[in-house]
Amino acid sequence: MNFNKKHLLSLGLVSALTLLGTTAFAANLKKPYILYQMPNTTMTVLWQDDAVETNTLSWGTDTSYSTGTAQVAEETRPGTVNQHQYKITGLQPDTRYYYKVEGSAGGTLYGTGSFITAPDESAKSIRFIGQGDSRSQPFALNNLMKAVTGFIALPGNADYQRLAIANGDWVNSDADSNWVTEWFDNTKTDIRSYVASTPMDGVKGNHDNSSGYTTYYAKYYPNPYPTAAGALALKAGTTATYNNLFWSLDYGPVHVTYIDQYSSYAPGTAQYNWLVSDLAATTKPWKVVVFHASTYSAGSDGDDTNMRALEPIFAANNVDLTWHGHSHNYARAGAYTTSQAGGDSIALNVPHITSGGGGAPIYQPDLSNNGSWPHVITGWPSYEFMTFDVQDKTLTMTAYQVTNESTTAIVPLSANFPATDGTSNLFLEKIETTVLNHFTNVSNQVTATAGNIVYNRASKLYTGSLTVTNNGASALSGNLDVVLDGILYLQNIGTPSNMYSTASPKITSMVATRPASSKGNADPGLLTGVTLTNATGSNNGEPMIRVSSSGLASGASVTVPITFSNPNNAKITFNPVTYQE
Amino acid sequence: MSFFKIKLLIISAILLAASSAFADFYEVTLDTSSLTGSSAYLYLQYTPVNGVASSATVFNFSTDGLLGAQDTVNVVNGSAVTGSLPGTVVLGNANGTNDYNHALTLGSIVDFIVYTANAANSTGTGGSTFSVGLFGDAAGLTPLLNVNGGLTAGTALMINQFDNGATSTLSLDSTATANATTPIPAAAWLLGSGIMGLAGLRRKQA
Repeated sequence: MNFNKKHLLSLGLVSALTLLGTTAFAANLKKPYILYQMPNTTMTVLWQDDAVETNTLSWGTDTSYSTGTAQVAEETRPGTVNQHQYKITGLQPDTRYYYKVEGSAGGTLYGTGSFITAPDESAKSIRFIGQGDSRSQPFALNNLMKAVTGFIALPGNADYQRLAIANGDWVNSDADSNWVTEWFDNTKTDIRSYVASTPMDGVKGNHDNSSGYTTYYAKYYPNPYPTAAGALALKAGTTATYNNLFWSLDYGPVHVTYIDQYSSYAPGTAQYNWLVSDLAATTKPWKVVVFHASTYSAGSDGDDTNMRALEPIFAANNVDLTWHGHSHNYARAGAYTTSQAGGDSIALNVPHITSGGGGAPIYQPDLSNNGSWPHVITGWPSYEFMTFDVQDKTLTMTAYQVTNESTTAIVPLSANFPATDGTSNLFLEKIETTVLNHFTNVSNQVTATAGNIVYNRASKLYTGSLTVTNNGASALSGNLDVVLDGILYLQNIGTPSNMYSTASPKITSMVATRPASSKGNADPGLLTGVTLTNATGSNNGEPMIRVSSSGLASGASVTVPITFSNPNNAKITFNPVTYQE
Repeated sequence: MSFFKIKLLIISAILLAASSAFADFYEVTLDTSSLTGSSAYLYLQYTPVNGVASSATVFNFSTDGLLGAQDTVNVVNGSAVTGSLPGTVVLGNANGTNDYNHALTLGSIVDFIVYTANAANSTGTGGSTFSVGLFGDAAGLTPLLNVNGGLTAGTALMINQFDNGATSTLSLDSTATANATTPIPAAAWLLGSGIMGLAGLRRKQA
C-alpha cells in the first residue's frame, strides 16, 4: 500500500473513530449547572459529558438564546475529564438570562437553565437563599430543592433565584462516586433543575475534605479563589488536590467571607492574613462570614472551639453574622453582654446561625445551655433552608422547615404550597425570623427611662411608659427606636411541626434554657416569657419600639406606652438601647 | 438630759431611719363620696420595671367606711407583701407585680401614707411603681375609679420610685391625690410619745 493509500486509510480510521466518539457514545453525564464567579456581568456554566467533544453553549434574554453562543471544548484543569466550563461575559447586571447546552449546535440537548445576573455593585437591596449539609441523602436533598424551587415560584419571590450560599458537606466524602450519586444524579430532577438555575457559592465541609485536602469539591465548584493570597494551594505530589479553599464574594450590598477551617488559619498563615485584610478592606455594609462547623451551635456535632480564636477578628470588623452548618438542624446562638459571654471568646451581638438541615440526617439540638454547647438562644431539629433579604439598613433572615420530607422517595409539593394540603406532601413552616438593623446607637446622647407600670388583672397585661430624653446639644432626626436589650423577642419564633424530633416526649419549644448564657454562668440570659405586645419591630432577636418618627430636639423628651404580656409574673428587666435609623 | 432634748433625739432618730435610703412620703387620699355605701376592693400593687430592690410601705390607713377582710386569693403574687390593713403593709418588688387586695365598704374617704425606699442606682433606667386601685369585685374586673382608663382601668394613682432616686406621681382619676409629705409616722409618734412618757416618769421618780 503506497503512502497515499495508507494516509487515506488512516484518515478514514481517525474519522471513523471520531464519529464513534461523538454521535455514538457522547452523552451528558453531569447536566449543566451554574456558578457565580464575579463580576456581575458574568455567569459560569459547567457540565460534563462522556467523550471528547466540543459542545455548544447558547444564551439570551429569552429562550431563543440569541444573545450569544460559544463552542466550548473540554477544560484543561488537572483532574477534569470531559468537563466543560464556560464563563459567559458581557452580560447586563440584574438581568434574567436563559441558556442551553447542546452536544453540538442543533445537536443533542444536554440541558437548559436560567439565571439572574448579580445586581449593580451600588445596589442596597438583595435577596438570596442559604442551605448546608446536603450530603448522604439524595432523596431528601431533592425534596428540599423541590421545596426551595416552589418557594421561589411563589408570587414576589422570583428574586431569590439569583444566588444560594452553601456552608459545606455537599457530599458524604471526597470521592467522585459520591458526587455522582448524591449531587449529579440525573434522576434527581429537582436537584438538577435547581442548580441549573441558581448559582451555589459556598465552602467545603469536613465530609468534602480528606485530611485538609479536597479534590472533587474544588473540581466541581471552582470558586474564584484568591491564589495570590495563597488560596487553592496544591497538595504536594498531586495535580488536582487542594487546601486553602478560602475566598470571598461581593453581591450587591453584601460581602460574604468563606473560611476554609480545614486549612490552617493560625496567625501568620496565608488564610489568616487574607481573612484579616479581607474583612478590613471591604466597603460593603453587610458582612457575612461563612464556614462549615460552628463556633457556637446547639449540637449535636461538636463546636469548632479552635475557631473561636477568630471571634475577636469578627468583632473588630463589625461582622454582622456568622453562618455555618455541620450540625444538621437550625440553631441560633450568641451573647449580647460580657456577662452572658462568661469569659468565652464570642463576638457580642452577632448571631451565630447554624443552618445544617439541607438534606443530611437530622441531629437533635441541645437547648440546655448546660453542656457542651453554650450561648444557645433557639434551636430546632429540621430539614430547612434560609432566606436572606437585605433592604438597605435591614437584613431579615428566615429559616423555613420543609415538612413531610422523605429520605426514600421524591415527595410532591402540597397543593396549597407553601401551606399544607392536609396530606403527606411537602410544605413549609417558619422556624424563626431574625432581623438585623444598621441603625446608629445614640444611647450616649439620650436617657431612656421606664415607669408608670401597672398590672391589669382583667387584661393580664402590664402597661407602662418609656420616656426618652435627648440630653445632647444636637437634635436627633428621623425615626428613633428603643431596643429592649435583655428580652427575647418571641413574636418572630414560629411553631413548626416537631416531626423531626426524636426526643421523648418530642420537643415543643425551640427556646433555650437561659438563652445566650452558658454552663455554670450565673447570668440568667435573656428574659423569656415576657412579650412587648406593642413592639414595632425587633433587632437581633430582641423587641424594639418606635418612640419617634420625627426625631427629637435637644433637651426634648418623648413618652410612649409599653405593654407587656408576662404570664409567669417575672420581674421585667431590660437595658433600653436607643437607635436613630 | 432634758425632756425637750430627748424628744428631739427621738424625732431625729426616726427621721434618720426613714431617710437612710432614698425615700419619699406621700399622703394618698381617695375621695369616695360618690361611691359611699358601695362594696369595693382596695387593690395595691408595687410593680418594678428595671427596678433595683425596693419597697413601698403603707401606713396610717384611715377611712370613714368599713374595712372588711383581706383577700389573698385574687392577687397575682403576694409573696413579697407583708402586713394587713389597717396596720402597716409593706410591698416588696421581688416579682413582676407584688399586690395586695382588701375588701371594704366605702365611706367618703380613704387615706393613708405611703413611702417608697430603695438603694438608688444612679444609672438606673427604671424603677418601681406603687399604684392604688379601686374595684367593685375581688378579681379586679369592675373598675370603680378611672373607669375608662383602658389597660389602666381601676387604677387611680401611681407613685414612681425611680432607681436614680427621683419620684413622680400620676393621678389617673380626679378623686385621687397624692401629696408629698414628710410626716412623722403616727406609729412613731406613739412610740416616741411612749418613750417620752417613760422619760417623764423617770424624771419624776428621780
